This record gives sequence, C-alpha cells and structure tokens, in this order.
Amino acid sequence: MRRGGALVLALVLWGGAAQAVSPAELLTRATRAEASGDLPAAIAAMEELSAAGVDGSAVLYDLGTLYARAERYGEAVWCFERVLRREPWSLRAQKNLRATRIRLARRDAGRTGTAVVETQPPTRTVIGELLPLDLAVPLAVLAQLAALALWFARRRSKGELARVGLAAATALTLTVALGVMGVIVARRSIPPGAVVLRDGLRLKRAAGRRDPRGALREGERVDVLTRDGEFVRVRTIAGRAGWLAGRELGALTE
Amino acid sequence: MEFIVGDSFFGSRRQVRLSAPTITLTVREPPAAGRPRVTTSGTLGPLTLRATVDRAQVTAGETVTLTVRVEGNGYIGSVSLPPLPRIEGVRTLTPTSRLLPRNVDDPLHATREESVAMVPERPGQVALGVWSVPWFDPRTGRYERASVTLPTITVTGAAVSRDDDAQREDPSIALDPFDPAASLTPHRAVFTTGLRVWSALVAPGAGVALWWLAGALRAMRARRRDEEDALSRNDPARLLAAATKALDGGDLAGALAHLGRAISLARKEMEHEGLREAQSEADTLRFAGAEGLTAESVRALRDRVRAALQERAS
Repeated sequence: MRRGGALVLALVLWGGAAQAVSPAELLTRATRAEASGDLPAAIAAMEELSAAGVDGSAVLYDLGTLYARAERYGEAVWCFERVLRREPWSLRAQKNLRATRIRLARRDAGRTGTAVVETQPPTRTVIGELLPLDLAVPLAVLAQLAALALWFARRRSKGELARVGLAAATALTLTVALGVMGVIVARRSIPPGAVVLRDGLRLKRAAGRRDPRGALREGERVDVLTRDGEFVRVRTIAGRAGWLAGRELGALTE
Repeated sequence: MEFIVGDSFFGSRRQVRLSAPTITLTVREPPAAGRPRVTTSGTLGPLTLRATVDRAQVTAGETVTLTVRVEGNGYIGSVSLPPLPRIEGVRTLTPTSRLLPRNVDDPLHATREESVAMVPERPGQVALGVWSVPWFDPRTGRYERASVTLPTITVTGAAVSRDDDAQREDPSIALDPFDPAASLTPHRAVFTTGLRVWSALVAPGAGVALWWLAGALRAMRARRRDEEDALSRNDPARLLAAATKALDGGDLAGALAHLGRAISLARKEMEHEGLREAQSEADTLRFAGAEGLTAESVRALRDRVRAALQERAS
C-alpha cells in the first residue's frame, strides 16, 4: 500500500512538473494571442505569469494594456498605478493610465451623462509618490554621506574659496537629503492605497447596511484603513468611508 | 366613373356607376406540417441564391462587401429574408437591400440583392458559412430550402480591432502598444517595512555618532593615561611600585631610575635619615655601572626606600 501510494505521488508530481509552463512560454503565448486579437487568451496568459511571481513593471504594463483594450478599466488602472509606484518616470505607463481614465470617463458619460476623469489625491499622497522607497532611501543615505564627506573636507581645506565652495556643496547635498527624506516621511505616513476593480460597488457603513450616497467608480483610488477578515474598511478621496469586500480591491503595494 | 359629353371645356360631366364581375380569392395559409422553425410567411419559391464578394483577399481592417442575390417569382421585395450569418472576428456594418429592375419579358421574375460590408479583424481564412432561405412551393405543398455557400475570404496582415479605429480618431485615448519583449525579472522591493527604511536612514548619522563617540573615548583614555603618568612621575609610592615592577621584569636600570626619583621627591617633602642613606646607596649603584648593578643590590635599595617611606608616613 505504501509503495503504491509513493508511486501515485510520484506520478502526480511528474505530471505536475510536465505541465508547468515557463515564464517565457507564457509571454510567447500572450504575444501570439494579442497579435491574433484574442484578448481573453492573452490576458489569461499574462495573469498566469503575474500569479507565478513574475510581476515586474514590464509585465504589469503589458497586463494593464490588455485590460484597457478589453475594457476592464478598473484592473487596467490598478496595473498602471502599480507600475508608476515603482517607476514614476515611466512615460508609457503614464500615457496608458491617462488614456484608460479617459476611456472610462467616456463610458461612464455614455451611461449616466456625467463622468469624472480623475480626482486629485491629497498633496501628501502626491509628494509621497514622487519616488519609490527603493530609490528614495538609498538616495537619502548617499546624500547624507556626501554632505558629511563635504563637511569634513571643508574642515581640512586651506583656501578660503575652497571652504566656501565646500560649504555650499554641503548645504546643497544636505538640502537634497532633507527633501528626499521628506518624500519618504510622506510616503510612510499615507495609508496603504487600493484601486476599486469593479463598477457600481457600494460601501457598507456597517454589517448589511449600504451607503446611500452613491456607488464607487471603477478605477477609483481609495485608502485602506483597516481589515477584518475578507472585508476592508476604505476611505475615498472625497472622504467617504465604509467597508468593501477585499476581492473588489487591488492593493497598491511597494 | 365620370365622363364628359361634348367639348372638353364647355361640355357637361356625367357620372355613371359600373361594376365588374365578382372575383373570389381563396387565400390559404401554408401548411403547419413541415414548416421550418424559422420561416418568413410569404416566401414562395422557387428561389435561387447566389453569393459573391468584391474581393477574395483583404488585409485585416479593410472592408469587403458580400452580396447575395435572391431570384424568384413573385414580389420578393416584400419578403423578409433571414439575416446574413455573423462571423467571430468579422465586424459587419448595416446591410442594404435593393430590388433590381424586372425583365419586361418576364415580369413575374424578381431579383433582390442583399449587401453587407464586412471588416475582418483577424488574419487567416474566414469562411462565411452557408446562408439558406426556406420557401414554400405552392405546387407541391411542401417547404423547401434554398442555400448558398458564401465565399471564403483570405485575410492577411496583423489583427486589428475597433479600438484601432477609435484611437485613430482620438489620440487622447490611444494606448501605447503591448510590449512582446517585456522583462521577466520578478519585482523585489527592499524597503518594505518601516524598520528597514528608518534603519537605513539613521545609519549614516549613527555611524558618525559612533565614530565621534569612539574618538571621545580614545581622547578620554589618553587624558587619563597622561594623568596617570603625571601622577606616577610625581608620587614616591607609585614610583616605588614602578621600580618593583621594573625589577620583576629584569629592568635594573629602570628600577634604579624610579628609585632615585622616588628618593628625590620624598626628600623634597621631608628630610629623613633613611632617605639620605638610600640616596647615597642609589648614587653608589648608579656610578657602579652595569657590572656593579645587581638585582640583589637594587632589591636591597628598594626595601630601604620602602622602609624609609613607611617611616616617613607614620
């Protein structure tokens, strides 16, 4: 019995290994599907790639582009927002995010007669998302070290002109260090963000009670306040707070 | 009816009533037995179908026009024909219909054309399928079906979508294209927790503070060492201890130097007979040179100095 069980387990594992698809193969599959216009198949391949842990900015950009073309705007916004949190300088992600929001607004305008393209987030959020932490922290450390080195060099320098120049350089690098640290402080102080993935969701004020003030917009940015099991308490930019199912939100993580 | 008697202008008008023989028409509904599930009443045959396309090969996104011609007897113009088949990946525009002029030699024969513009969106062979129209044969009393196999279109080029047309019209909604060469490197974030962030930020300042603290400690230790040395150089008891240490280490000359200095300092503070004798003995040993300097003699001198200091202290 034990030997038979081991054989079955070996067969299952071998079968699983044989079916595993490499990331390159998944990307090729997605590329072919996209070229032939089969968006659902392309999206499925890219989602599988992302779920396998290959979730770099380039993969997220491609997935977001496919979502946008398939009119799954909430998920597209979520992908592009994640790319921009890591690479704020990504022009193609900025462009596609903007285009997605306009498409979404036009769709909403066609349905209801009104639409919102984008709501300006709070200033603290804007500042906090100027730089990703993986860039801001090393930059702040380097600026501090540079300021210290310049300060020590100034103490050892002889000429008046050299001392003045080094003092100015020290002040400049110190300013850069303080500025970057300000961005870091802002980023750490803002609550975790998320994007609403579906349209027409309503906040629950408490168990079983819905918010009568209107539905959330697909692609809308919210702050995550707390979690309770599968539910998440969120707050919109406009200040409305309530509970949503976690599966309806796309988290914006580092 | 009305007719005019006499001149057309000055004549009189008269109306008479005429009637034609009654003609009775018997209208029968086509039988229900064998009636196709999808049929249009009034479609009497026989019907002949033909289908053509203006181009057999197109590039994806270009328009090809499918034309189906229906010929038969009767008033085909009023007949509702079944819709042309819809193909996945082929976008169809609004179809048009027209009746072709009748042949005066055969006025009952009518021809109707159904045209639809189609836009294939994906490359490949696109089979448009079969289009059929059921009709009723009043002579046999049975339902028949006229069918035509629609042509196959060869579509070349890259796939396009309605989206491309919309983007061409409005650049603000244009999306940058899918990148087939996307990097497959997983994303790894380093500074994901507050501890890591603040530890990294505080590290340079903490390093400088530690460096400064180490320097301050070194300076403090050096100062204390100098003070100890100064005390040692000016305290007879410490000098005696240093002489003992040097003697134990075999440094006879060093021990003699410490003992000489201890005697000098002690004599400055207070004159003592034992110290004078010790001074004399120390001078003797100093002038004796290396040959006369022995451990026993230096040890004896040390004991004498210790006894003198103890007496002085008491």
